[in-house]
Amino acid sequence: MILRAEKLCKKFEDRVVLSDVSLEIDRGTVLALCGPSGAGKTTLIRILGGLIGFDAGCITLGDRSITEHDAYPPELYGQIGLVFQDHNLFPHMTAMENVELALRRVRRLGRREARDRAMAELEGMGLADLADRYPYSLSGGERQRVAIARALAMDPLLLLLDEITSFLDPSMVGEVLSCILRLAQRGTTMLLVTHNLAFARQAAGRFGVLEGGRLTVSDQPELLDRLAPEWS
Amino acid sequence: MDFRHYVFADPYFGWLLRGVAVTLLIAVLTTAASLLLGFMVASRRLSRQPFWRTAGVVYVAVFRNLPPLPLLLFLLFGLPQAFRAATGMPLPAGAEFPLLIAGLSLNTSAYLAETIRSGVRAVPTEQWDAGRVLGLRPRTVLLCVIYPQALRIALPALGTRLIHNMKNSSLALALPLPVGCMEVVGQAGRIAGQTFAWTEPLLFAAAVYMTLALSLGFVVSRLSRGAQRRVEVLR
Repeated sequence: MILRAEKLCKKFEDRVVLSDVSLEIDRGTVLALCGPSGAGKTTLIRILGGLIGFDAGCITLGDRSITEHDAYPPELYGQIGLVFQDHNLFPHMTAMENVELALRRVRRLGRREARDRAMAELEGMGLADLADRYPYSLSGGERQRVAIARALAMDPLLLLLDEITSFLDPSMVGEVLSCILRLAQRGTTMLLVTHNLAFARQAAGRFGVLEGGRLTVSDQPELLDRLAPEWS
Repeated sequence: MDFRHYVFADPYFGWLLRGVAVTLLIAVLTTAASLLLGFMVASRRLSRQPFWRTAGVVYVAVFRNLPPLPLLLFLLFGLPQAFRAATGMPLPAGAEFPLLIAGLSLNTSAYLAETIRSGVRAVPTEQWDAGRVLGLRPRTVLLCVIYPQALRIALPALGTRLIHNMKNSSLALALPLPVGCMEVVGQAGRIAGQTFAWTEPLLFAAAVYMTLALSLGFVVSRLSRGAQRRVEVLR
C-alpha cells in the first residue's frame, strides 16, 4: 500500500470541499479521479502533495501517517511527485536544469550523476534534443512532459497528476497522454485527475468519482458512466 | 571656454581623473553594499515572523524617508561628535570614506529592498509550490527559484535606482573628505578654488556623470530585455 487516506475532510471557510474522503492506492496501480469542476479534485491532490492541510482524517503515505494536527513530513516532499495543471516549470532554467535542480539539492547527487539522471528522464519523455531549451521556447505539451520528467527524476513513491492536459490544445494532448500510458504500463503508481474519460478508462485500473466533496472508488470503469456525458 | 587650461592642464587633469576613479569606486562599493543590505532587508520584510517583518518595515521607513544629505552630514559630523562625547576619543583617522559608503548604502538599500520585495511578490505563488513538492527547502526555493525570477522582473527598477545611487556620489562634495578621496565634482570644485574657473571643470564632471549613467542604463536595458522575456512568456 502506497497511499491510504481515511475520512479526509476539508473546509474553506464555511464551504465543505471534501467530506469523509477515503481511498487507497496500491503499488503499481493507477487510480483515475474524475468529477465536475469544483468537486475538490485539486484540493485533494494539494493535500496529498503537502501543499495545504486538512481539517480531519488521516493520511498514510508509505510508512508515514499524518493527521490533521501534524505538519507534512519534509522527507515526503519529492517522494510524492506532483505535476500541476499549469506545469509550473522554473522559467529561468533550461529543461535540463529544471530536472536537475532537486536531484542536486535534495538527493545530493554530484553534478555528472544528476545530469545523467536528468537526461535519462528527459530521454524517457522524448525530450533529449530539447534539454538545453528554456521553457518559453517549448510547446505546451513539451513543457508538461518536462514537468513529468522533473517529478519522475525524484523516483517518487506516487505520482500525482492534476489535470495536466486541461490547458493544452487537442494537438498536444495526445503526446502527453501517450507518455502517461507508457508510465502506467511500466508500473508507475499514479493518481491521475482527468476530464478525459476515455483516457481514464485506458490508463487506469481503478476509478474514482468525486462529486459534492464525496468520493466513490471502484475497480469497474462503469463507475465513470454516472458522470453526465456533457460533463466530459 | 578654456578647457585646455582648466581641465586638460597639469595637475588639474590628474585631479579630475582621480575624481573619476573615486566616483567609480563609490558607485561600485555602494552598489555592492546596497544590494547585499537590500536582499537582507527584503527577506526580513517577507518573513513570517512579526519581529523581523517589523524590523524590515522600520529600516525602510527610516532610510527611505531621510534625505541622503542630512544622513551623510549626521554620519560625518554628528556621529564623530557623539562618539567623542561617549568615549572621550575621536573616530579613527580615515573613517570618513567608509562612513560615506555606509550612508549612501543605507539610503539606496531601503529603496532596493522595496524593489526586490515587489519583484518577489510578482513571482507566481505556484513557483513556491513547485519548489516545495520537489522537496527543496524554503531557503533553497527562495535562492534558486524565487530570487532569480524576482531580479529579472525588478531589473529595470533596480537599474534606475542604481543609476540614482551612482549620481548620489556627488553628495560627497559637501563632506569633509581628504583630497585623495574627493569624487569628480569635489575635484572640479578644488580646481575652481585655485583658478576661479567653475564652468569647464563642472562641465567635465557633468560629462563624466552623463557617460556613466548612460552606460549603466544601456547595460541594464540590455540585461532586462533578455531576462524578462523568459519570465514573462510563461505567465
